[in-house]
Amino acid sequence: MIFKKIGPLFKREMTDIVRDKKTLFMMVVLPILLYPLMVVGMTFLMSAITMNQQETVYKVCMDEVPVRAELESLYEQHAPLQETENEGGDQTENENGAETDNGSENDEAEKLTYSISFVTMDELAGEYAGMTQEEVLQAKAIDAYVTYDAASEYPYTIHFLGASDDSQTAEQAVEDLLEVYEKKLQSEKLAELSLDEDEILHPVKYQSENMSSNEQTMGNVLGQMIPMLIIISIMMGAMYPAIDVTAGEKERGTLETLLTLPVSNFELIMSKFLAVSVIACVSAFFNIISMGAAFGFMFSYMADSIGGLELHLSSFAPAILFTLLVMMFFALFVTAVSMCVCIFAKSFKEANNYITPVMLVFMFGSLVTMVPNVELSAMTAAIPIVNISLMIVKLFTFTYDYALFGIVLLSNVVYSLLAVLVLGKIYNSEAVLFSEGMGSLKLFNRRSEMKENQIPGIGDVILLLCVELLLIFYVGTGAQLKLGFGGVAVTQALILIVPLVYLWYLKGDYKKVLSLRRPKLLQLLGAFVTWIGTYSLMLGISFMLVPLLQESMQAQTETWEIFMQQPLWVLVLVVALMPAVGEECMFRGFVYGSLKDKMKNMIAMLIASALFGIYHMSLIKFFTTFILGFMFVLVVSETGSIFCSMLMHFCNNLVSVLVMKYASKVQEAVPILTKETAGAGEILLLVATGLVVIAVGTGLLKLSKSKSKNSKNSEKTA
Amino acid sequence: MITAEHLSKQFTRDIMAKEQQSSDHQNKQKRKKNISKKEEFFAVDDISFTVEKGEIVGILGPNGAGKTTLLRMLGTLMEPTKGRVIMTAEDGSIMEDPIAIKQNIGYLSGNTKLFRRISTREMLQMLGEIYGMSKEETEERIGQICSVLDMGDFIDNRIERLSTGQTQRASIARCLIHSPQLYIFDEPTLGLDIISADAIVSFMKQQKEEGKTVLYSTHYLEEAQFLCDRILMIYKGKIVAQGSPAKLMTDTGSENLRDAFHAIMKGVDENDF
Repeated sequence: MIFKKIGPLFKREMTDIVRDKKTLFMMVVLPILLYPLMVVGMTFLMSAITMNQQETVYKVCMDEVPVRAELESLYEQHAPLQETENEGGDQTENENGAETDNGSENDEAEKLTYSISFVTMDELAGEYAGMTQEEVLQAKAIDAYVTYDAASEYPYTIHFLGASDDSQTAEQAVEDLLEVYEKKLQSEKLAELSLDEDEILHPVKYQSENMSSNEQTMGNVLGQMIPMLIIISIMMGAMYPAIDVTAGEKERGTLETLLTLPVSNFELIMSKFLAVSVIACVSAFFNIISMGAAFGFMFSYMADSIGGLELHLSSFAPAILFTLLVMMFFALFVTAVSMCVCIFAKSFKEANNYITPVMLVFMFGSLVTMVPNVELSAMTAAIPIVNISLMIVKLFTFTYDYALFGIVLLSNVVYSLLAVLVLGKIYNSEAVLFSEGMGSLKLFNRRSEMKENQIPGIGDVILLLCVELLLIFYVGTGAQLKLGFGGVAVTQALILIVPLVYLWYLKGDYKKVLSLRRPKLLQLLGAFVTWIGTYSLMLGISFMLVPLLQESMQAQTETWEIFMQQPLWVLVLVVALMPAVGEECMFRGFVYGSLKDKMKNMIAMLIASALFGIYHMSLIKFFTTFILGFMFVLVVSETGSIFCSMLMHFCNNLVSVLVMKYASKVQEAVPILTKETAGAGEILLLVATGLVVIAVGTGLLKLSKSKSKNSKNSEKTA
Repeated sequence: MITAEHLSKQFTRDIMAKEQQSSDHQNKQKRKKNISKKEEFFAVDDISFTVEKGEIVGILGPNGAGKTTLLRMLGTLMEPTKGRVIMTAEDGSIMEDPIAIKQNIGYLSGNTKLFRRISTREMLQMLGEIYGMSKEETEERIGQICSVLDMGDFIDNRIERLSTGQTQRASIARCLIHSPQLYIFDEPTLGLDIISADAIVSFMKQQKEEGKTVLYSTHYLEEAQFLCDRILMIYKGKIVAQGSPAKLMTDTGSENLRDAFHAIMKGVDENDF
């Protein structure tokens, strides 16, 4: 019954998509052309490079080398053959000869790979008069020069430019020549002593044999490249029609036309989903077939020309067929995900913005094949994208593990179904169908188009956290490695600056987002008392956690020891004051300030505290920092002033600094602060005291709140 | 016959704009009040009325009055927050299911554009299938519509290649294919040239003569005065006046519908503040 209506709708979508030349090009023409071109291009490029290297004559200056004449005549004997009938074959023979050292019998035939011309400084005198060899090399008039110092452990030195390809090859050329010279001297010496050269120089003879079949070796290489190619090609195939049937439909104004028809939203979205899936599958099909044909052609060509390398391409057939099957389901998944994202956009351009990050995630997922020691296992088989990539590697190396493949297939079926369900759910929402787009990521707008006094969206918060994470990881860690303690200050500065810059770009409402409000004295007092309670509570909780998480506690103390070498004022500044400002602006400011605008206050508070906990990147710290973060955010929520939480944060970190810096003195005065463990009674006391003091503190905050309300009311009545 | 029973539609809107306005006034007290960021409001607020068979009913109101939302709910494109839409078929049976109602409605608005990459004939064939018509039935109907709307020249051309007037005729053909009982038109003549606009007006008249019902919104008061049997004036989601054009004019002592409209809107605004 459902299909009665989906049928014509599907037909309409298909006609619409297929008649769009751009889609057709992406779907059929591009894959058919791409891979053969890639293969031909790659082969051409490789041979062009080798050809070039063989044809170039590298200019080397050996003026200072006493045996220059001998080397030159040696080079004449071994000069590379020019224009021989089978260059490729010759080249491999040369390389093999040098590496396996069994070429003594056909010494005459051993040829060098690269051509050298022996240039003297006198020859260059005209243009480069008065220049040293090094200057001439830098001027690229020669590719390398050799110096000789009899007193040195290594008398010969080859000078070259690592930044120049030609110079690097010239270095190799000289090295090859010196090797030939070395061999010659060896033979002469041994002949003088009438010793058997082979016996002396090659007492141990060995060879390695690759027991993998040629197909397996080839498959391993292919398996690393192919997943990314296929995943990208499916994305390309699905992306364009996915945008077209969702955001494109909105942009063209045909969505409302569809809504006037006597069909349910489910039927509508299913017809769209089916149409895009068909396109994605066809596109995947063409990609895989074209890729298979191109690589197959390349290998059979290579096998022919190299000889002795026999490949049975037919043995790849099961791998290709199974890949096709899994790819079909993966295409469904990709389609549904792309549509889920694009549906929020109201125009092509916007949809492109939304889908690019998704595409990047998919690409990174497919790169997993390049990571060593990640293999298909029961766990990785359940991770979307990763599982397909790893499965392809397995398939192409002929290791069939049907149980795991089953999981991959099944999980892709499940993921695609889930994605379709989500898609149906989203499509049923009037807010999405009639809305003006998602707008949760305001950064995508140009600054000049930004509204004044914006509140950042949830997307902005996520983006900011990602940016901060990356900056702390790369810049912060880098700075700490370079500057030591100074790096900590850099990290703290980053935490403060990034949200401020982000807010500036959005033309955000600083006052509102960061809760910049001058606190009343009573509020500060309340915040301070609340902090004392929180500190006691945290102390109790960390004593409870110590036996559970002993190890991470130890690592903690180690980092502190480095800190303690700094003078007190530096510690107070970097460890207490800077985080109090920076982290508060970040977590209680940007994160909480943006979230509370979009959701219930309590949920925003919990998320902001959890993020604060996670940010400390340590399991033992998570629980305590979560509670600490929650109390900070609670105070901000109650007072509307971030300065209150800054005070709390400062006090908190200050106490940590003092306890660590003056550990012995503190131990005498307040032993509980430096203890490693505590008894149940002490813990209970700490927690109870903490809770009571917190109650008093929040009571003070409430008092100040009602007071200000009263005064406002009285103002009004007055 | 279609009946709206206590129809209401609630939306959420950002009131950032409002906040800015008040800050322009440098009125700090007011600005603080407006700081809550989202506001829920009724675009359509408890509207009830019935449109009888063979009637042309015009819906008038300034921009943002809720005309489009009201028509979308009547066309069951949108679900009402409160209330319901009931349609009575010719045989007296009552329909409430959106899909059944859509089956009997021809809905046209500025937002219902046509699919560009198919021809008018292909579109009509697809619609016939969706409306559950047989192939022969569809072909016969396409033949009729084609001659009525004079579409022979371009019916097989892709819609993206049609002129504005041709596209408008194709749009009307879209609403006609399933011979609906009721037409809902949201500002159908907006932005059209005189010839195309007149074609639509005469089409509506002709449908009335055939016993069909037409419900439409417009900003062209002269057109409404001459065409409508009954007018509903809505403002801020509520009906502020209704009746035949003649009644509205006599009630307000105006000579034409335009003056009556102004008089009514002015009266409402004064009561409001």
